[in-house]
Amino acid sequence: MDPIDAAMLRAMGLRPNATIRVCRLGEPCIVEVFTGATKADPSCPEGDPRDRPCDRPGGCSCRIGLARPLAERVMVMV
Amino acid sequence: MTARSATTKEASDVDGAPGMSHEVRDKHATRVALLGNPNTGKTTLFNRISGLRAKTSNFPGTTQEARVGHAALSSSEGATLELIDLPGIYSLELELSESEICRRVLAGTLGTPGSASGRGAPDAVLVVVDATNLGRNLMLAGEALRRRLPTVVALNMIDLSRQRGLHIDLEALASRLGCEVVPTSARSGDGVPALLEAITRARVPNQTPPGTIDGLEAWADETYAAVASAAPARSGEPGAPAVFVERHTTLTDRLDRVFTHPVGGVLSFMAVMFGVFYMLFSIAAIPMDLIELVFAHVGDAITAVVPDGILREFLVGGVVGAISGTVVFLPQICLLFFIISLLEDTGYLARAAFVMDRVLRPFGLSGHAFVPLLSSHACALPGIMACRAIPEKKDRLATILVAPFMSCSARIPVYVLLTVLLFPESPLLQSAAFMACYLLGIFAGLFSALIARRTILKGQGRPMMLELPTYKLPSIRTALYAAYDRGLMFMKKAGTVILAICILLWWLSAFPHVQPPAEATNLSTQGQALVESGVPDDVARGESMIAESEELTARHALKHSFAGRIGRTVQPVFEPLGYDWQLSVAVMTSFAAREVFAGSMATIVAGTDDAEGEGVMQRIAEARRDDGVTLIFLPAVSWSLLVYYVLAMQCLPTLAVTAKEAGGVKWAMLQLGWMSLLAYASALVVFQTMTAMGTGA
Repeated sequence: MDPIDAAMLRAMGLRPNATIRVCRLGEPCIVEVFTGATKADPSCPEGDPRDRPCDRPGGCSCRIGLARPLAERVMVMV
Repeated sequence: MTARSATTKEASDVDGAPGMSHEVRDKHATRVALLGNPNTGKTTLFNRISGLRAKTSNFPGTTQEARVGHAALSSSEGATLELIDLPGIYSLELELSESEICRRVLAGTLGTPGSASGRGAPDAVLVVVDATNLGRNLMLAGEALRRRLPTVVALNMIDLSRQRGLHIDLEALASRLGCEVVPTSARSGDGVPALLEAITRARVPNQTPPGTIDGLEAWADETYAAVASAAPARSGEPGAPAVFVERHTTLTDRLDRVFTHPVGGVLSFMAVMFGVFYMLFSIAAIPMDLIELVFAHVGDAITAVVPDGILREFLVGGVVGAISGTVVFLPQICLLFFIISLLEDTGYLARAAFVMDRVLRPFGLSGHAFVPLLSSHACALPGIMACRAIPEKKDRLATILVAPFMSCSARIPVYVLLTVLLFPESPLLQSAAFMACYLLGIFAGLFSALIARRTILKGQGRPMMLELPTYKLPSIRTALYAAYDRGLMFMKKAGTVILAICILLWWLSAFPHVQPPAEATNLSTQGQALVESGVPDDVARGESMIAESEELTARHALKHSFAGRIGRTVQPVFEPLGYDWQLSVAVMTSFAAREVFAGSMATIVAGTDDAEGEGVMQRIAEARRDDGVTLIFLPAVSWSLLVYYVLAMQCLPTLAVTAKEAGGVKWAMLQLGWMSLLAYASALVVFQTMTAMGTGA
C-alpha cells in the first residue's frame, strides 16, 4: 500500500490490529472501526463486557468506506 | 500582544518543558485556531459562535480557504475573539495540503486568511473532538497538545454520546490532557458560553503526549480507557444496557447497502440529482424573474430621468445590464450550495461520492469530483470553486480543467434557440437534441479528463477512502450560512469580473457611434410622416416603417462597431464552419459570456436583444446572408453551432476563476486552448460532413 494511503488510514483509525466490523463487502467496502480500547487490549477496563462502551456498533467507532484498490490491501483476521 | 510573542517562541520548542503556564491575557481580538477531525461539528460550532460575522478567504499565498469569524466576549467589555476555522484533518503529520496548512498556522508561519498580516502563532487552539468517537479524536488532540500553545478542548456532540450510553469523566480527561475540557453541543448551543470563557483562560497544557505514532496511539488508548465508561442508566432509557446487545445489521448498514449498491446506488443518486436540478431550475426561477423585473424597472427609471445620450446608454445598457446579468445567477448559486450543504449534513453525499467513484475512476477522476461537476451544470464558477474539496492535487486540476464542459445554465438560451431552429415543429426532437447537448458535454469532459490524466497530469489516481458520517437530520442553520457565504463570495469575486466584462462587451458593441444608413433615415422620415397623418392605416404602416428603420440602424451600428469589425476580421476563421460575418459577430460577442449569443443574433437580424420576443424567432430563422438568398441558419450551420457551444470555452469569468483555483494562468490558457480546439474541430467535422452528405442545406 502507498505509504501516504497507509498513513491516512491509520490517522482515520484503521491502524494495525484495529478491531473492525465489516459492514459491506464489495465496492465500496465499508468497515466500522472501533477506535477506543478493545477487548483484546489490556488497557480496556475489566468487568462486565457491557461496561466497555468501545465494543459495540455505534459505541466508539467510525465507518470508513474504501475503494477496491485499498480494500484489497487490508488484511482482516476473523 | 505579549501572549502571542511568548507562545510563538514556545511553539518552536515542541518538546519544551511541560506545564509552562501562559494565560491568554490579550483582551482584544484574541486569535483562536479551530482544529478538529472532519465530521466533529467543528464548522457548526464555528457558525454558532461567530454567526454571520464570518468571511471566507484564502490563506495568504495559497488556494486553501478558511473561514474567519469574530465573537464578542460578554464577560470582558470590548474583548473579542478572532476564530480561524481550519480545514478538518485526521492528523497534523500527514503529507496533505490541509495538514500542512494547519501545521503552518499553529507554527505561526502562515497569516490569517484574507489578511497579509497576522503572522505568528494563534493565541489559543480550540481542539474540537467528537465525544462519540473520542478514541480516534484523541490522536489529533495529542498532536495539538504537543505544539505547546494555550489549548482548550471542546468535547462536542456530548448529548449524542450520552444518548448512546457513553459516560466521559471530564475531570479525568482534563487532567490527562493537561488543559481545560468543555462539553458542548454545537447544534443546540449547550456549553458554548462556557467554552468562550474557557478560551480566555486557555493555558499551555501541562501534559505532553508522546511524539511517535505508536506512542501516541498507546497514549490515546490509555486515556480513553481511563475516562470513558458506560453511563449508568435504567432499562428503557437512552444508554440502558439494551443498546449493548450486538446488532449485526444496523439501520445505517441497511441504508448504506442501498445508497452504495451498484444499481440501487445509481438509481437513488439519479433521483436525488433530479430533485436537485428540479429545485435549481424551478424554485430559483422565481427570485431570478423578480431580480430581472426589479432591474428592468431600474432601467426604466434611469431612462425617464437621464437625458438621451452616452451617459444613459452607459447606465442602462452597461451598468444596469451588467449588474442584472450578474445578480440574476445569485439565487441559483445560493440554492445550490444550500442543497449541497443539506445533503452533506445528512451523510448522503459521502455515499454518493463512492457511487460516482466507480463511474469516474476509469476516466482518471475520483468520486470527489462529482459534486464540482454537478455544480457546474448550474454554473462553472461555483463548480470550480467546489474543487477545493478534492484532496489529490492532480485529481483537483483535472476536475477544474473539465468542469466547464458541463452544460451550465448560461448555455440554455443558446440550446433553446438552436434546437427550435433545427426542429421548429417537433418539441420531442427539440427535447432529444437538448438532452444530447448535455450528454455530449459530459462525454467531452470525461474524454478530456482521460487525456489529461494520461498526459500532463499523469499518475495513478489516489483510491478513495472516506469517512462515512452517521446519518442525521441536516442543520438548516448551517445550510443557510453556507448559502450566504458562497453567495457573498460569488458577488465579491466573480461578480466584479463579470461586471467588468459585461461593461467592456457593451462598449465594444455600442462604439464607435455611426450615422444611420440613408435607407434607415428615409424610412424613418417617411414613417414619421405617415404616423403624423393620423389616418389609422397609415399610422400602422408608419409604425412598421419606423420599426424597420430602427432595425436597420441597429444592424448598421453593430456592423460598424468595434465588435462588428472584430467579427468581420475573424470571419475567415469561422468560414470553414459555415458561419457568415453576422454569426461570427455573435460568436465573438459571446466569447466573454456565451449567453450573449442569442441576444446578439436577435440584435443583428431583428434589431432587438430579445431573442424570445414575438416574431423574433421567425426573423432569425428566415435571416439571410449578404447574397440575400442563402439562409444564415442552414441545418448544417445550426448543428455545427450547437456542437460548438456545447464544447467551447465562451466564458471569461470561468477562465479567471480557473487561473485562481488551479494556481496559474497557464491552466486557464490550457483550458481555453483545448476547449476551443475541440469545439472548432468538432463543429468543422459536423458542418463539412453534413455538407458533403448533402444534408446541410
